[in-house]
Amino acid sequence: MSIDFKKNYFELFGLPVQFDVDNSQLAVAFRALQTQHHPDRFASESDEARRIAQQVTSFINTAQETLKSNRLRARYLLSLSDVDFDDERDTTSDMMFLMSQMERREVLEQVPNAVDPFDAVDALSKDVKAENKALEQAFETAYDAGDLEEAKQVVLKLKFFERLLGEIKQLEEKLEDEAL
Amino acid sequence: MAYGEKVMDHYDNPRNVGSFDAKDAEIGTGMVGAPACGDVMRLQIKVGKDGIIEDAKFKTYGCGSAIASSSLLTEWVKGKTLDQAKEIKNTDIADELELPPVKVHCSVLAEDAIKAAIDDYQSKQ
Repeated sequence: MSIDFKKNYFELFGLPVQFDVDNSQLAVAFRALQTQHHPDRFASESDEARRIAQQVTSFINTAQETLKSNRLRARYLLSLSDVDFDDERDTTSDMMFLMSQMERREVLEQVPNAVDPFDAVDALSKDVKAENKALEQAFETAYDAGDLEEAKQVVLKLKFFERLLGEIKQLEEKLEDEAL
Repeated sequence: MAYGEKVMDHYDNPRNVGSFDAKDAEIGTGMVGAPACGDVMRLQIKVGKDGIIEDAKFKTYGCGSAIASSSLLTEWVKGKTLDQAKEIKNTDIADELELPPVKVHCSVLAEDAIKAAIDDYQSKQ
């Protein structure tokens, strides 16, 4: 048993092709497909059947990871509209945006020196999450309006936030470890 | 991933970290970001009346290769004219630091940063 690899990730899970995603619906559809195509169920079958089951599982996993992440889902939506990304050459030169990113990182760097590092990191985390949310909304607005170039610029910016949020999380964990 | 010796040297002892006042007329500031990895780089040059780059500073939030690329570039541009500095290619940086193919975009970032800094300086004159 295989699946139609030509289906896009949204179709695979029976979801509408749009930025807004019902995460519980995604989780249910993912588990159903995962169970249906689990390689263990094909353990006693031919090499070919097992190989296909593995390919299907890998496809389903990639699809789920892509749709679960807001940034990857946005990027995937654009790729369905033939918007290209060039990871080697694309650079962002929006000065206001980069300055604010630089400032955020300087604040993050100073967190351990704050009187209360936990308060400092909480405040930063709250601000950054709010900005990230606003960017996601800006993506949805641009995408829905068919402004794909603007939507692409927003997706590129989301990567900086993903990185920043990851570093904030690391620092939070480090602070918690040290407090023990 | 293991970094090469030259990258580690710049990473452990970055040259010219810091900033100049971006509002000064003799300062050019270039800021760039790499959406592939979320690195942010600021490179600044201080240009003398003779048009030669007297000093350069950088601040990079990114991986070792991005830090090394910008650190190396600040060393290279000192004493150069703006035209000479503009001629530095990302491949020169990548070759000097022996960057692996997956890290070449870090040197692209540094090249874009110096070009942006020169543009910024020239737009102020």
